[in-house]
Amino acid sequence: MRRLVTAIILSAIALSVAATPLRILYTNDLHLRFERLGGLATAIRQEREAARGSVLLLDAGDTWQDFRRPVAAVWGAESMVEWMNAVAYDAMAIGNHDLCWPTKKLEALSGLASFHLLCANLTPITGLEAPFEPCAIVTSGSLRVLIIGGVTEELLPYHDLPWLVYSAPEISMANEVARAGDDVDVIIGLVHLPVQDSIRLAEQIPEIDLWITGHSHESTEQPVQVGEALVVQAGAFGGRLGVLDLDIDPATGDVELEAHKQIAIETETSSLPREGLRSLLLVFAAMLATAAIMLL
Amino acid sequence: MGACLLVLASLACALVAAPAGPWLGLPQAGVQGDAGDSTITWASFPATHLAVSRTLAEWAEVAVSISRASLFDPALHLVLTQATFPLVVGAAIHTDSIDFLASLHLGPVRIDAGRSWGETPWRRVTLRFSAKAYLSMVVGLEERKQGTSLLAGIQLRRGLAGVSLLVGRSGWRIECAVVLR
Repeated sequence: MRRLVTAIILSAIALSVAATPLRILYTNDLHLRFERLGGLATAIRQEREAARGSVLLLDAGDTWQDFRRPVAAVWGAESMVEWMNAVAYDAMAIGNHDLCWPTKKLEALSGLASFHLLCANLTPITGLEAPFEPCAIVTSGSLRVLIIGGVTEELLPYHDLPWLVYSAPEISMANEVARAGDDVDVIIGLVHLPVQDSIRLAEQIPEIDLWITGHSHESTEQPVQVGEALVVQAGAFGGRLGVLDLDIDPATGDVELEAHKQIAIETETSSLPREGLRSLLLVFAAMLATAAIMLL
Repeated sequence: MGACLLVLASLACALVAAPAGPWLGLPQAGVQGDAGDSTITWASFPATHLAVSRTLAEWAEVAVSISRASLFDPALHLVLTQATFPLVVGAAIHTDSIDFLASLHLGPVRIDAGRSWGETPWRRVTLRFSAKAYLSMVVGLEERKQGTSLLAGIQLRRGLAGVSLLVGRSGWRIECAVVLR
């Protein structure tokens, strides 16, 4: 009996030693809400410090643009990228709003970013390069993490992006999984897609361990379990920071959910940035001039 | 001489990665393709014509149109503002008219407005909605000498080529265009 207990304890210790902890911090649909970035930065720093192991910071897109706020429709993407660089994001999926910027500006933003900009299901026509990658392998501690981007087909500015071809994410993302082979410990789908669409994808591509989603502005208080995979989303407008603790066994590829929470972020009062106001006034002046020319 | 200048100016432009598409039936603020690209357009309106244009820079494009009425009808398209995005303002200078063009880019929706001063003046506002990569729907109002009329149609795209079918008071308008890299 004593031998059996000892064996069980030793096995448990061996298992716990084999599992590597990974904390994933995630956001989505920030939509240039600068008034929440201070609170988000504080929460990100605190959660990094409290982590048991290595940390990844990921964003599921719609981060650089918003038509609902006049200033966010004309200004702010560069400042947002600078903030994302400062808090050390590892990767961001491109969202439909982010694609509303002109291609040249997207190229400039991509060049400014010190993190991976991802989308697997928009591919350029032959001979051209996109300002984003389909996927990236990020080394976090001793773990090799494959992150694959994806975007919704809804509300894309197709007529302004004739050189990009949309393909079904279940095909393009599965291709990236196959291309990576067994060379990675964890696979994350970082997708600007609603939770329901991501659940469908999780059923179709069971190799992906975690789906961090966006677009639908939903909050998953607890991760949605789809087979072995988890699906999460953290609301919108920087109101929540998702914190996901995983234990990963590199030998077997098993990913265990250790803990999950979403931290509410307070809004800070912030004045309109002078540069943003100037850009907005310039656009309004151009609109008024256009209206005058059309009507007079 | 004009053609030589056009070729020389085109060669001076560097190629970049992401070209705009053809206008498909309705001139708009902007250029077709990217610097160094050529666009070939066949259109049934205002008279059946073939146009070849060359984009010199992201703010300039020259075009030559050939029809039964005129064997050489040059035009210069200019983008006047880019700093005011999502509003882009442009102009087109023809031998017999000047067009003012403005495009408001709102993601899957784009509002194009324009007017022309010259022999056949017109004013037009259209709304374009792209639900799919290959399909846009267009509705709008157009004012010509004959009066104001509703304009509606579809545009089908594949990469840098497309077909446009528009109907208004003046009848059907068909256009096929391709940007050559």
